[in-house]
Amino acid sequence: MDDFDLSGLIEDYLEDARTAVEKVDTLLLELEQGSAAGSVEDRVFSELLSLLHTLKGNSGMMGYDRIERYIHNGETILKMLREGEADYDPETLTIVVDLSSNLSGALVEIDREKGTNPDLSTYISALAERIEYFENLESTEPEQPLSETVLIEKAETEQEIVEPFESPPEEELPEQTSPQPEDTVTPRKEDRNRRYLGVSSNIVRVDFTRLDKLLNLLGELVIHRTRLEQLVLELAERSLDAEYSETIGETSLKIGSIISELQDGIMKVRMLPIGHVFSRFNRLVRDLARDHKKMIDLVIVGSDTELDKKIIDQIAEPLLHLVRNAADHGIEIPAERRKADKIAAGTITLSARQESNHIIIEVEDDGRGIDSQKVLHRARELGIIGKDEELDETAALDLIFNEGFSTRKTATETSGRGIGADVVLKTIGRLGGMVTVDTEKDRGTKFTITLPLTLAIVSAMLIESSDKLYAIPLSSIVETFKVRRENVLIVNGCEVIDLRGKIIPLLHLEAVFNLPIPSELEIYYVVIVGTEDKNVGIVCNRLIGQQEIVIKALDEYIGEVFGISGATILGSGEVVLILDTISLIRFNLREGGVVGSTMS
Amino acid sequence: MLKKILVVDDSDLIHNMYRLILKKIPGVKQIDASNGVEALKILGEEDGIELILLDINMPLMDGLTFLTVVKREGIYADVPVIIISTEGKEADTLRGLEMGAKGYVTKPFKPADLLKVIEKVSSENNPN
Repeated sequence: MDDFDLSGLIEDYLEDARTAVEKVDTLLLELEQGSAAGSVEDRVFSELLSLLHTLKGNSGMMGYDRIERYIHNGETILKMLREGEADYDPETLTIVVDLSSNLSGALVEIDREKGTNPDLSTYISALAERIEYFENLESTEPEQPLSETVLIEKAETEQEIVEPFESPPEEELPEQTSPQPEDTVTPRKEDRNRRYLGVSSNIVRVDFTRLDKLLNLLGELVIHRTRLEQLVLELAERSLDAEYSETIGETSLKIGSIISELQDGIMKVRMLPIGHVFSRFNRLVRDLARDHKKMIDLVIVGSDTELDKKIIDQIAEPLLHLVRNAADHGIEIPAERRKADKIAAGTITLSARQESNHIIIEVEDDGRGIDSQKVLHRARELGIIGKDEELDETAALDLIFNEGFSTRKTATETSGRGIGADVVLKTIGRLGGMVTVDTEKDRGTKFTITLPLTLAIVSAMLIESSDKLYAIPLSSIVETFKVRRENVLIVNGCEVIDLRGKIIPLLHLEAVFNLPIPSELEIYYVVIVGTEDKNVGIVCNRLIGQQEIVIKALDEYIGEVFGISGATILGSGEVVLILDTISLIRFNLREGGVVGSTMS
Repeated sequence: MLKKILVVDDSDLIHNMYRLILKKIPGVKQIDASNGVEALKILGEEDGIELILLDINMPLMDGLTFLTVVKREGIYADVPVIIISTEGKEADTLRGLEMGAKGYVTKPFKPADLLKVIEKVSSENNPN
């Protein structure tokens, strides 16, 4: 029916809306920070609600009914958060914080194609679902008051003023259609009292430092459990009273198993879904695509995979680098993609999954791939490798993780993907994880990050080398075996072994830590660390066994020590260094060792 | 016929939107104010304003405060006010009507609906 053409106002609308969304974005950040700190200023809510309200009205006037509905749901959940009717759980927080990025995405769509009415249905229903969830939590409380009555009065007034007021848009807002609890016809007195007492919720917000403290205590407990187990064994050997020492042994076992359960419990509390981090990249990818005139879809898989909060906090930066590089350098512009017989829109896939006690995160693009020859060329130019040095594909690709490789100069469209790769590796290494890269020309690139489930307490293998004990996190161990000295081969002056057709380079820890290498070893105990394709065998005199260790960071005054990622204390009080397997593998590469690869 | 309409809204977009809609009323002049304070100032300077379209949610002085001041001071009380409200703010609309606003429209509205309300309010005010 509209004979009014409002399309002339789109530019005005966009300008207006962009400013508003920017402010909303800043405020949402404040809200997020506030919620992490335990309280959100009321000012944040009132400013947010006021901005959103205006934007909702304007969007509605312009006919963008989906934006309108989306904002409406956003307002509802913000009001619920303000009133304490909703919780700042990660899922809700993500959805709320994403309001601004989704809105600005919608604005970009409108800007790109004036006639569009951006489809926000997924986001709308995600919000509606959260709202419904919290409403159901509250369902003991009768939801009859104020607003209902006002609505009725409104309807009457409306009749008086404008007669044939046409019925509102097709569907009703989800908020209104959400099922009302059936048994709330007459609010009983105690129900009414509940309104003032607030809603009881099953979710408690806890300052993370408190959880950290609990974990530290647990760490101490784990250390002493190990000590206790040792003492029990000694007692059994010495004790004259077998029955007595057996009883103590049983009690010790019981304590041990309870501590394990306690540990699981505390660890679970610290877990957050990685979707929290992933969802931030929607906007990044959209912005990058726009800036580079590319078409990029971001696919997110496994966002409910859970990780320790400590890891979640630190994984965002390396992921950002990888996603940014994929969008900047991996995905080609549409014209180039068409030439390569690919669809115009590139895809970046972010996925996470759990495999035994690791989390695997993959950042994959279907772009042009990394040209290992160009990487080699660049590395020669930069003097990272010798002028005539040749490396195989895997080793060449690995050069991008070199610190020297990520200088500004190399950040060009053609020089590959060095930017920040060393930062990625460093961060992941610090977290006790691994990064590998696979690439195929014109098919794309995949970075695979392997992380331990948790940081604080891990299972580790204790080894002895030159009378010193070291711990290696089980998450980085491929296998262990023993080999006689005569079976060790020398290739290019390096010790290697042939394990079922695979060449595994060996590394003496003494070489890393500048200690004299023992020459009298007849039997090598070897711990292979790394991945199937990229690994090194650490030589030691003795494998002591597997145990839970509590990771302690090295003190700051010591700084970073090459090859060491931290330390732990054994039950006996002895301090043991934890090996940083990533840097050991790289040490071996750099010292001219061979890369473990399949013989064919 | 209406000659001068004061539009009080903090959004330039809305001002422009009204300009498109109000074109349908021949010979009408639209004057813009972006909040209650500005509106009061314009009312003091400009003669012959016959209708006010009033937004509720504005910085400095919001619509309801504007109505409160007008009522308390007993000034410009003869100029009819139409409240432009938004869905979900029905309580504000009701308060505005209690304070003497002559009509309201809820955003998002169809331009024709706004015109209907304007017509109705202005004819009630000048029954001739």
